[in-house]
Amino acid sequence: MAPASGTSRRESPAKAGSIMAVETRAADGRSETRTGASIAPLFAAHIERFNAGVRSSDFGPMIDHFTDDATATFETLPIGPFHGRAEIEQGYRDHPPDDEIDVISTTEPDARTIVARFAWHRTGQTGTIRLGHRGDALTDLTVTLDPEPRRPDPVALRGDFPILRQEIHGHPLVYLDSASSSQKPQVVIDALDAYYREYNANVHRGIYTIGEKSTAEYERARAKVARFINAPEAHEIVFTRNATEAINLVAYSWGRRNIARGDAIVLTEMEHHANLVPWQLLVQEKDGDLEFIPITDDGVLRLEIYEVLLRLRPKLVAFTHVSNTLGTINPVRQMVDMAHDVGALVLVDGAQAVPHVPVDVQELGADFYAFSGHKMLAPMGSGALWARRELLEAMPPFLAGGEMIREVHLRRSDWNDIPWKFEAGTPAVGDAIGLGVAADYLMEIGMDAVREHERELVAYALEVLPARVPEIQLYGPLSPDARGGVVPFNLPGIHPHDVAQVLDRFGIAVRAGHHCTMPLHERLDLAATARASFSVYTTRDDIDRLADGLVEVLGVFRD
Amino acid sequence: MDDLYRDYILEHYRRPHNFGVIESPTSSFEGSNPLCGDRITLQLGITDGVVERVGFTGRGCAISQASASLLTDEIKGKPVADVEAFRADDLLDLLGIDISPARLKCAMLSHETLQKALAEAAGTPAERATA
Repeated sequence: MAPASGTSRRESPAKAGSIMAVETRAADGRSETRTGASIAPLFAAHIERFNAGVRSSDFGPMIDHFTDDATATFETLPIGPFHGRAEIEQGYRDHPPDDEIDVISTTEPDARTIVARFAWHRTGQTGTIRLGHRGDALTDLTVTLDPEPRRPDPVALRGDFPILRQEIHGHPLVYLDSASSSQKPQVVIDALDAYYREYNANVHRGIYTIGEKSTAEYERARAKVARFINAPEAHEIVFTRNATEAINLVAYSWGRRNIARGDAIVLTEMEHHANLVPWQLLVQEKDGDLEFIPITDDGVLRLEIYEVLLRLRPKLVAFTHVSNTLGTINPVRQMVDMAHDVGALVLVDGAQAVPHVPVDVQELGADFYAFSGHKMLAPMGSGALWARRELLEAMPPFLAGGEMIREVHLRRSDWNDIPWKFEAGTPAVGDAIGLGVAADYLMEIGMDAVREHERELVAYALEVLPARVPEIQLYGPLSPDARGGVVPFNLPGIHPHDVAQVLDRFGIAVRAGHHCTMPLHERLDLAATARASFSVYTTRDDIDRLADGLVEVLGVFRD
Repeated sequence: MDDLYRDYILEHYRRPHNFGVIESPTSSFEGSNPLCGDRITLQLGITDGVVERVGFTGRGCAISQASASLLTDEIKGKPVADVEAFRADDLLDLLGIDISPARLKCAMLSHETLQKALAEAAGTPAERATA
């Protein structure tokens, strides 16, 4: 395998992934790597020894796999070739790889050769390994790294989403409402199925095998979610039903203890009602104030006004990472730094970010980060709040009941440790496990690749829609670099509900209405908009179909 | 091509009947569906217990506007008692299309607004629709 060399490595696991692993899924619907029956033992053993070598820096067992006269060649790397076992061993000592590899697929072109596709576990960079063998011993090895990280192939990915295989009104379903809720891949559906068929049991209670398994898988999902957003520790992840519940948790628990009469909370004009109404209730109760960062007509936050608002010394700044209506990607790090400079805490609504852009909560620097699972390919009813340990520990419980307590007496109780202090009652165990699987799925594609895919789709939509439908009015930032996979639009003189209704006749699903951002629509002087939104499985063909559909809509309403 | 957007519906949407304000209405009420932005102001001119004149203005989807057009046609010149007896189901029959649950509010906006306008005419001012 390829010793480490000039390939660039990013450290954030949130950005890791292997694209080709998805192809493996498309073939069998499961995430296990597959190897051919005859080569599996030899190849699996070799990979296992290699990965063990990465972990322990001892490549001895792997080197033992080679014949004395074996050759190792690294075609795309400035090292080797190495002839003979001693040289190969020295080569690995001089250039130790720093990452494990995931095998994606293997083929056996002849009885003496195995060809494998692989991906670096964390970065997702892919390549090919050619292994020559005599029986159980390797005679030569050639590694070729792909020059560019592979992009997700949305056409191949679609195969992972069974719901997309259906026809609606005689047309293949074109699902363009992913900002509302995403579809779920087979691996997530399988995870739910396996949970209910094989180990459904309450968590943190059962002293029996399936109860222990459900607890272990539930906590493993927490670790996966932590890794997905690069949280420093899994115990800082509180499972919730969705982003709304996560924000309410902060508003009730942190807010009711920390917001007092006259305290200000700064929000933005582009907030989803979920990041607006909980704060309205809080300041009404506490006699505090809400201030709003205005937007430009293109839907970009006016940071010069934000700067002025910060002079009010707000206790909290809460804003969305990516606008659900306009797609605007806000400069989170900059805004967090500005807030911290005046001593305010920051809550970021990540519901529209986690499915679409790489999220590293440590890099963003926020204090609270809330998101939904159902928008990121996970089951309905899954979601999470991340918050700094010291904040969570200081916060009083939100909901009260079982699980969140350590000791209960008739007149008082002691609270459990975080995060369970905030998870009163039996949680949605299967859904949380599904959320972990969805996080893995996205990490395997690679969030950088997802972002690039959606950036290209937005660029394509912004080009194709006005070209095919000159009447169309588009809203939001003009540059695809500044927005996520959300394209709001209107056709003049045609209500968005009518647009959506006619599109449905062609199997095209878009959202129409105010998208839970009534103040934003008011600000832009719009009664409603139609909105096409994308995900990993969205293709250019979907956008072409939308353009076709809009031409039909115009035909129906033409005078 | 579409069950919902039949020609006569589209015709009422494009060229709504009774569209506009009337002079010195005896009753006027604005109804809206904030969720979708449909908005209708309905004005009645009632003389001797008969809806002599009727006019509406507003904006919204084809279903809400066509529904208002059809409804105003239906009630014009009718005794108030008959208009009061005109039920929501009668309006659905008049529309003659299958309205999905999601669009029922659009179809019914004109009827709801009419009920408020009639209540106002009867001297019991209705609560302004807020939600």
